[in-house]
Amino acid sequence: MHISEGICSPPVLAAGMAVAAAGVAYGMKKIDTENIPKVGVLSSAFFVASLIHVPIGPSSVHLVLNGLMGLLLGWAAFPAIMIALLLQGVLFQYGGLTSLGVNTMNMALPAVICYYLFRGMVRTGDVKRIALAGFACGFVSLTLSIAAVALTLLLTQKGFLVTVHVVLLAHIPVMVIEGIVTAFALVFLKKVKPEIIEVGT
Amino acid sequence: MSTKRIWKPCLGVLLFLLVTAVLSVPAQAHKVMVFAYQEGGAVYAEGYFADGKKAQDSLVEVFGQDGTKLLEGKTDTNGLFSFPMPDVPEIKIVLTASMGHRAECTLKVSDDVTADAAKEGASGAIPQNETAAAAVGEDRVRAIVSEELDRKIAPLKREVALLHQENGPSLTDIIGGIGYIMGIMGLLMYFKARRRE
Repeated sequence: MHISEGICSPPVLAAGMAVAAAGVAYGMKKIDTENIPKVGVLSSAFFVASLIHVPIGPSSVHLVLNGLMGLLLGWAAFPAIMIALLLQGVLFQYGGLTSLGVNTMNMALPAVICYYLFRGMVRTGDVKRIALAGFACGFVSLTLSIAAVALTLLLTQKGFLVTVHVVLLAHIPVMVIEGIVTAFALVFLKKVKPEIIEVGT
Repeated sequence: MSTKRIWKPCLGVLLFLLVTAVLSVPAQAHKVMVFAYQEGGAVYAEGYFADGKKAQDSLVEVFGQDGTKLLEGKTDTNGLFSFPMPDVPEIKIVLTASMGHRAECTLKVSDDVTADAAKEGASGAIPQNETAAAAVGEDRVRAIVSEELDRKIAPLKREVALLHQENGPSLTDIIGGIGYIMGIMGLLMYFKARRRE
């Protein structure tokens, strides 16, 4: 999920940087002082989720949680994801500084898209619909992210298209897990702290 | 009734294909790393992911100091790619795995062994007099010793290289990162609050 330094061509990097900067600027405007702790907690969750690898069969996966972030934060997902990615890049060399923009775009844009797609379903307050929305949100956001990564790579190096469907197929278990985790997280939040999912940003 | 009978095996086959497709794809998530070491006249480059899985079937490119590409190849099932030592003092090895993962490392080429072997070959061809013969003997001994030594310390070299390889982030790293995030949020809150006043 993290594109390393020196992979993407300069135009792709610049485009990613521009989209990320715009998203972060808009997200920052949307953050109220009361929402900052929420942004921080979700940023931390995202930061940690990418570092913990769960072995599944011959491969191992890690959660991304960008769907959950999108649903709970809306546009504020942009700054939250960027901060987490920046720290992952600086501390662990996951991704990199030059590809920060591209990585932020690839993960935050699907989050925001999912926010608009599923927020209505979550706000109905019905637990079953929330669970369903959570699953769909986790699944769709990760699918979009992987597709975005694939597209970014495709724009830089030709001949990657062949592996795109393989990569998408390989990530199906992760998407399902992501969906389940997101659904559980939302249902749990609905029970213990319903105002978090009903207010949004 | 009949359609149901057809559907079931079809679904089974589809599921089987899906599972095999999923299982046959090696690990492609996470950060990738590469390290290289010399053994005899060959250089071994090994690629692996942050969780310890080998980077299989990944492109390995070898560059000289001036940035010219010397050779390229793909890692095998053990994440290994070996090639004969190029005739340059330093090489840069770049490994590109799937999904935009890339790592590089540099390796200083110590060419003692090849130089010795060459010396031995050159002088060993025509032993002219007593001193030359003695010199040949010494050179040959040196070559043999160095070769033998190389073979003996090869596992050690590998061990050292393995020690250099980074493991995944530790718990302290992760907690430190969370601390950073909380700090940044605190700063953000501070500035937002100031602006309001």
